[in-house]
Parts: sequence; C-alpha cells; structure tokens
Amino acid sequence: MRPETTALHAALRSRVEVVARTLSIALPPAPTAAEALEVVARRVAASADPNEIWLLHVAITGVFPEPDDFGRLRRALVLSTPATAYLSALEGAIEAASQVFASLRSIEVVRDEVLVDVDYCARWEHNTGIQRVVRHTVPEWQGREDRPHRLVAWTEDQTGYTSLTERQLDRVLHWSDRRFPKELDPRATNRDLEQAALLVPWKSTILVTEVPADGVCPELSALAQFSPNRVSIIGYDAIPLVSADTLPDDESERFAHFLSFAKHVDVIAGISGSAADEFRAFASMLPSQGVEPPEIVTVSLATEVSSSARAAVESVVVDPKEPPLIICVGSHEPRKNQEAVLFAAQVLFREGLDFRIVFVGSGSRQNTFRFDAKVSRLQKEGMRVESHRRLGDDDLWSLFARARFSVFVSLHEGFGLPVAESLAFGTPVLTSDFGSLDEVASVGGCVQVDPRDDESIVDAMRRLLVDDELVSGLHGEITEQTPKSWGEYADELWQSAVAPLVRTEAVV
Amino acid sequence: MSVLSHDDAKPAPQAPGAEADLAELREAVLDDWFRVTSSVTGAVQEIQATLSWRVTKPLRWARILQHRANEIGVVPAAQLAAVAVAKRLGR
Amino acid sequence: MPNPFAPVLSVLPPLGREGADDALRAAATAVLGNAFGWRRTSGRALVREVSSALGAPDPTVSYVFLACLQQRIPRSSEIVEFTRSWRLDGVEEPLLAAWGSSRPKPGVRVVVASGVVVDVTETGRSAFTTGIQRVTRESVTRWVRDHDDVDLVSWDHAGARLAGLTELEASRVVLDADTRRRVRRLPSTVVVPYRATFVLPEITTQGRRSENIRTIARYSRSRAVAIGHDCIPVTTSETAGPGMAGAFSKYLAALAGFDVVASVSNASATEFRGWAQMLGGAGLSGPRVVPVPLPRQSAAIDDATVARVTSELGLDDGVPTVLAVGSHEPRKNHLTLLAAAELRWRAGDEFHLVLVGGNAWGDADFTRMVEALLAAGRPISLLSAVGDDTVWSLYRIARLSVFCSLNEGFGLPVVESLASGTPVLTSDFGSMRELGEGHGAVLVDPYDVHAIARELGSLLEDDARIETLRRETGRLERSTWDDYAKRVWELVEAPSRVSEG
Repeated sequence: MRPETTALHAALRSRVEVVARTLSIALPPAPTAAEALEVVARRVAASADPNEIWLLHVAITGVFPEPDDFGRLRRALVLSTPATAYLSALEGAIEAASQVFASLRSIEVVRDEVLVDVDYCARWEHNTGIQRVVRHTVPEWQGREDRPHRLVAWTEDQTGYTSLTERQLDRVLHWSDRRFPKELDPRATNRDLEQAALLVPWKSTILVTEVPADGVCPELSALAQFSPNRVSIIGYDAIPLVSADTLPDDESERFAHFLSFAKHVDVIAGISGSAADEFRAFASMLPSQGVEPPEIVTVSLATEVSSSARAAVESVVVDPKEPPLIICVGSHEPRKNQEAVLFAAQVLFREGLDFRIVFVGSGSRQNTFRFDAKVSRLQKEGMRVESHRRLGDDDLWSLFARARFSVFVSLHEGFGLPVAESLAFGTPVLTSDFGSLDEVASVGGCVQVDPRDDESIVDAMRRLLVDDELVSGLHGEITEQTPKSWGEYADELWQSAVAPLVRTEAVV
Repeated sequence: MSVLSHDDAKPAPQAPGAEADLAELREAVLDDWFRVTSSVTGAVQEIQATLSWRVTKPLRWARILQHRANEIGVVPAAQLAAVAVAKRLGR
Repeated sequence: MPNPFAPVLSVLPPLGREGADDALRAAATAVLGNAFGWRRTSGRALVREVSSALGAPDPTVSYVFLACLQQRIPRSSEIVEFTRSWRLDGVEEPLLAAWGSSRPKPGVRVVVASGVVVDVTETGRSAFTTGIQRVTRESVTRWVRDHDDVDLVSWDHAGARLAGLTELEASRVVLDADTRRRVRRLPSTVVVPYRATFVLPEITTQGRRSENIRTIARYSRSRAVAIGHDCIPVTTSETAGPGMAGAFSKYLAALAGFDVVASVSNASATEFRGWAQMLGGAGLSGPRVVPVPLPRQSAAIDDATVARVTSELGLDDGVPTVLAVGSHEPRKNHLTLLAAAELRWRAGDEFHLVLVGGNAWGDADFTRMVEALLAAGRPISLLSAVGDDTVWSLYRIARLSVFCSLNEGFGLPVVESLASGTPVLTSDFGSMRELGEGHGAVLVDPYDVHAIARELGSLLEDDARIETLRRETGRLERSTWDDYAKRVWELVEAPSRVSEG
C-alpha cells in the first residue's frame, strides 16, 4: 500500500471509530477502516435512522451533507442488504466525496453542547448591521458559567464546522480592542482543507447568529432536518422577499435559499416585533408543504450607543446662531428613500426656510450617482445641502449633536437602528409610520409619516423646522428614555432562543 | 444507487475462509473508492478537469459484485463475494 | 399686415413631432376627456394647452403621459421624478421635456385601454402546455367567448411594451376558432392600461415585465386581478431551478399592488395569504386572497383508444400498471417513488411503472436511477411529449397512480386520476391532501420511502381496497372549466359579490 493510501485509510478509520463510539456500536479490536465501516454501515442501514445516516455521511466523506447528498446516501442504504450495506454506503457517498478536498479530515463529535455560529464575523473584517449585532452580543456570554458554548465557523470551502483560530476569536470578541492586526486570514490551500478538523454537533443546540452564507444553506438545511441537533437563528428581516422590487434578483434568490434552511429550524428570534411578524407570516405558509413551522419569538435589539459616543455627543457645544441642521443617516439605496427627503428639503428651501441638511451613508455608484449630481445642482442654487459617502465617527457624532432632528423614512427595515441611535444621542427623529420603525418610534421622541407620501414628509419636516414647541416636546420624551443595553439583549436571546432548546433530560 | 436485487436475509452457508476473502475484497473496494474520490491518491489530479468522469467512474470491484449478482441471481451476497475474491486472486 | 415669418415659425411644430403630438393628444383625451378639442393646436402650444388644463400633481397622470409619449410603461422612478418636478415647477416643464424626447415609432398607435386587459404573454409564446398555461387557455377562451370588452395583450421581448396579440399568439391562447374571431385586433399598437381592469392569469419571471406590471398596479388606477398558482419558488426554493427564486420574488413584488389574487386551491391560498401578511413589514396590505379551486374534469376516452394504448405500450400482459404523471424535476419526488417501487419488485410484486413527464432541471439523479433499474430488468416505461389521449387512457388503464410531490399549488395529476376513477397514492399535506382525502386517495408522507412502498404493496395486492377507493372517487365534485372561468370572472368584475372561501 502506498503511504498516502495508508493515511487515507487511517483517517477514515478514525472518523468511523468516532461515529461508532457516538452510536455505541461495538467494533472488533483494532479494526481496519474497511472493517469498521462494514460494521457501522450495516448498523446504520438496518436502523434507517436519518440522524445516523447524517452522521455516517460526515464520517465517510469528511463533509456535512447537503440535502441531495443525504438523499443519495439514504437511498443507497434503503436499497442495500446487510451484506451490501458497506458497498452501498461507499457508493451513496461517492458523489459528495469526489467534489471536495476532505479525505484526511478528522472529526470531533460535540455532544449536548451549545454551538454559536459566528462564521462571517470570524472570517471577515467588515462591520455593519448584522456584524455589529453579533460583535456586541457574543462577547456578553464570554466567561459566563451559565452560558457555556463554543464558537464555530465554517471551513473555507463551506462544508463543515471548525473551531475559531486566535485571530478569528479576536475579530468576534474584541472588535473595538484588537489583539491582532486587522488583516485577513491567508486563503486556505487544498491541503489545509484536506486536513481540517471538523466539529460535528450531536444532540446539541446551534445558534446561527448571522444570515448564513449562500453556500452553507444546503448544509444547514440538511443539519436542521436530519441531524439530532436543535437549531435557532436570529431573524433579521424579510426585505429581499417582501421588498424585492428594491433589490437585485440575486439577493432575493439568496434569501430564498436561506428560507429553505430557516423553515426547518426550531426557533427564529426576530430582532423586532415586526421582523418576528414577517417570519411568523412565512411560517404560516409552511403547512402547505407539510413542514412543521418553527417557533417565532421576538427579541428586540439593543438601542444603546457606546458611552464614548454619547460622551462625544454631549461634549459638543452648539452655536445657537447656526441654521437648523437636518441629518439623514443610512446606506444609500432606493429602499431608504433619501430621494424623497431631498425633494422635501428642496420644497422647503423654495418656500424660503433657512436650514442645512446633511446626508451620510455609503452606496454603490449606481445608487448614488444621480443623487450626488442633484445635490451639487442644488448647492449651486444656494441650498445648504451636503452628501457624505464616508464620515469618521467623530464627525458623525458632531452632526448628531448639532442636528435639530434626523430623518429616516425608510420603506422597510428589520429594526431601524438609525432611529434608535438618534434617540440615544438625544436627537428627535422623523420616521415611517409602520413596521419596525413604528415600533422603535413608539418610545417617543419621533414624528411619523407615510414615507410613500411626499407631501406628508414635506409637512412633517416643515413642522419640525418651524415648531420649537414640538421639538422641545420631543426632547422631553427622549429624556425619559432608558436605552436597552447589549447585555440585556444577549440575556434575552439566550433565554428565548438557546436555553429552551438545551436538552435537560439525562443522556442515555 | 445499488441495484443488488437478491435477498440475503437468510444466513448464507459460509465456505471456509470466506470471511477472510471478503475482508480482502472490502479493502480492495476501499482502495478503489479512494482512487476515485480523493485528491491525495494523485490519480484524481490527473483527471480533475473532467468532473463528470470523477463522479461517475464505476467502483470496479463493486461492479464485479453487482454483475455477478445479476448473472447468478439469488446467490447470497456473502457467497458471491467469495466467488469474486476467488476470481480476483486466481484461486 | 402681420410679419410673414415669425408667427408661422412659432406655430409650426418642429419637424417630425406629429407622432409626439398624437401621443400627447391620446394621453390628454384619456385623462381630461375630448372636450378641449386637442386638435386645434400642435407642438409647444399643445404642450402648453394641455399643461394649463392639468390640475394638482398626480402620479397617475404622470404615468399616462409618460407611457403615451414614450410608447412604453415608464419606470416608477420616472413617474416619481416627473411628479416631483410638477410639484416644484409646474407640469409644463417636465411635460415639455417628455414631449421633446418622445420618439414614437412611425405607424405605431397608442391605445389607452380602460376595459379588461388580460396579459397572456407566456401562453401566447409557447406551443407547450404547463399547468399554468392550461389554466390560462381554458379561462381566457371562456372570458373572450362570454364577455365583450376583453382585450388580450402581450409584452414585447424586452418586457417594456404591451401590445395586442399577433395571429400566432391568439391561436395559441384561444382554444377555438369561433372565439378567436372575437379577439379585438390591435395591430401596431402600444397598449397603456388606465382605469382598466388588468388581469394576470399566468406568472411573470422576466424582470422588466414584472417591474412594469408592478407599475401598472400601483400607478394606473386600474383594478388588478391575478390567478395565484403557488409560491413554491420562494417557499421551496431547494426544488426550483437557478434564478427562479429571484425572478419569482419580483413577480410577487408586482402582485403586492394587486387587488385580488384568485388562488387555485386552499393550500395555495395559505401560501399567498402568508406572503400577503409578510407585506405588513413594508407598510403594504397586499391583495385579498380568494381560493377558487381549479376544476376536476376528466376527458372522455373511448374503450377502443384505451385498448390501443394498452397494447402499444405493452401493458396488455395482465400485469397491473402503476402510473406517475409529472416532469422529472426534484420536487416531484420521483426518486423516492423509484426506490419504493424497487423495494416492491424485490419483494416479488409484479407491476409496470409508467412515468409520464418531460426532462427537467435537476433530473440527473433520476435519469441515472432509471437507467440502473432498467439495466436490472425492471419494467419501467418513460414517456414524454405524449398526447392527451394517451395520458387519459393511461389513467383508465392504471390500477393506481402515484403523485407524492413535495409541494404543489394544485396537483393536477391527483385530480386527473381521481376524475378518471383511478385511486391515487399522494402526499398527506397541502393541496394534494385537500383534493384527495375522502375522494379515493391514499395519503402518505412523501419523504418516507418505506411508507410509500408499504402502501404501494397493499394497493397492488388488495383488490377490495382498490374497489373501495374507486367508489370513493365518485364523491369528487366534478366541476368544469366553465364553472371555474365564471367564478374567476366574478372576481375580475365585482369582488364584493364573492364571499371568501
């Protein structure tokens, strides 16, 4: 036998032995890979238990199966006999095994634990919406004895869970206080992938904190359907389906792939009542396909801003002679409705009102080109309007401190972080009158309009500019607010989406 | 998919030494399987470009087993495997 | 005496603007009526005259003028910009700009349509019959036959313009020649729905077309009614081909502005209602969803045809036939059926398995498995592109049919089998359960291969059970396409009269 073949046999034997231990299957003493697989395949074929078939797939191939892979192995085993189970198992896994570099992998079964999937935050240097939630929440659980868990990410080829490297932990847990330089991990070579050490959850609870990458949705879907694990996810929004008209097709397509996983999970924790309602409505579609819907809970996001940001805002001294400032903060895309705000400002400028309006938010050139051209045109007409694509934190905080009010009249949001942020900085907000924005505005300090009605935006902005009593009333409402902390959010999330799924009965 | 259509629920009369032969056959099947699926064996690297070949290449020893099953009919698989092993080893 | 030059130059329209003037007149007549005599002036004077007649900014009016001047459905961003410009500077400025850039094709007329406008684009383009196209043809033929003022329209290939049907399209959509003669011919026209009733009996997966239908539903002040087939591409995207889920999401975004969706079953209504409820997050209310189940009709097939098909397909050897109708796409779950059938053959059962349906996305595993089973000598027949006579004969020949799909809006093969008096083994949820339960169907978990094999075995062996089920098929309410077309038409016309089911 050539040495590389010996290594392959050894790796397979070791994976199959792990499975045998997990399933309490007695193996002959010091078995070869083939002897071990022969025994395990017979037993799994006889049981026809989907959980066992799922695990057998991981053992043979070194990858988590997609639903189609799982189906192939299951069919092969269904049509096998005890004497041919071994052959059928190999044949049923051949297609999946042929498409990956995984033949030398080792596996560790993680039993009766909590796994927290932080894949994107672990591997990428990027920090907007979802990553901010994860990087605020997960650190709250570190070192807590009542929150035992392991952080996991996907192998670079998106075929199984692995533990995080020190640098990856740094990206997730110490975002604002980094121990390592901010640089990306080197790309994995085929050899790295071939030898990866997988973590295989078994009767465990998995919390998926992000919207998973398109490439892992099939694996997660099979895991949720066929493995004996329980799965929770955070439900951010259903924008790519509900507001598909505002996004490119491929985003909606990816979201549909995500839904084909989400429909099989146990719990979806919506980040607002409105997001939860969207997922509840989606869940109500599922009986038509015989799928038992997930349980939907609401765990509203935190609304606090960092103490340093607050302090920065509070330290700004505002010159009362400055014209009133309106700010409009958020990524620049059609759904955020900045065009309507600019139009309203233009109407009010024509009416002779004196104010300055500043737009802040990055966006693709396709989305910003015409807008920025219009802004320069209006500047030439003498209107005090600016549009910033990139702005440092200090500049942004200074704007919040100076603003008479902020405007966020988005057509659809999962939560409406800019509204919460503005309120946390003490700045009144003009926002939309439905969905999550209605919810976040319900604490007070906001004026609400139908964002699809230009005239109502014009009227509201005019009132906020000229009506001092209105604005001071809103300030009064804001003063009484206590923002929700990330610690509270992390606690609620654990209590609602993790704790109920953790197996309490004794392990047999 | 396997289309072995015999039923070996009943224990087959085992020829002396058949289990040892079977074990050897299983090892051979596994070698073949690795040759098809694993990049480590080197064989795959040569033909990586033709993915369809990779995933459909028959398992040689498994095919022998199946062909025998189809020809002979309801011979219990264990006995059949012994025949195949004997053939392969020239006994 | 007036200066012979200056006044003439200012009244004469710029060269070649007659087409734009006509488009402007068509829009003005639709929005303002004919009382103003739009033919007295032309060119810029006409723009001024029309502008002074228009009142407060109104996006619907912007839509009509832009559509007529551009000879296509305008993008919603254009409508919004036009209306905002109207609000800021008055309508003359944007209207003059739209008129100035209007380049109508010579000889192409704009028709502002305010009756019932039925979009049959895909059905008119394809000679082939999917379930959706069948529903469209059967319904539309009856609407044209029974009602006046129904215009059939289709989009150009870019999905930008609506036009009347060509002869070829009409022949593909309207099933009989007499009715076809009733279709109003609109050669060389661009149709602009305004205060119309816009009906979409099929689906759209072409991006521009979806976007424009959304614009019509939102801005044309038309009533919009759709037949809702299912939401499978987004609820079961794992069974949809690449690109389908994204394109389908745009279709749903268009439906969000509709007034009514007539869904083809209660199960499909469950899907559409769930989706409509999701729209709340975006502050939209979505259409009213009313289930109008498809008909349960079978075709009459004479015994001679049945006998001919039996012998042609070699099914006359006394061995029972199990029939499965449906394309080879993964959602139809044929792989599980094949595995279950193999388990029965191994157990010694004798039966022909006849699979009727075409190749489809993702059928590689299916093809491989059929090849392997055929190589092992299993009696499987694969039929595709066969005539209706053959299919209906097969329903009569079969001892039972199997349709264990993973998700269906309706499940025509269930109804066709039961309407033919043939028991069906089908999935225990959704529309398949709704149609089959108590009507001669045996319900089973389609993911459970052993359960399917068990029921298949029992149905092959147990003559008394088959007899009982056959009797039960008689309880299926036999509704017709006439009934169906009538019920949907009531929703097209007057939704308030129809109670929600």
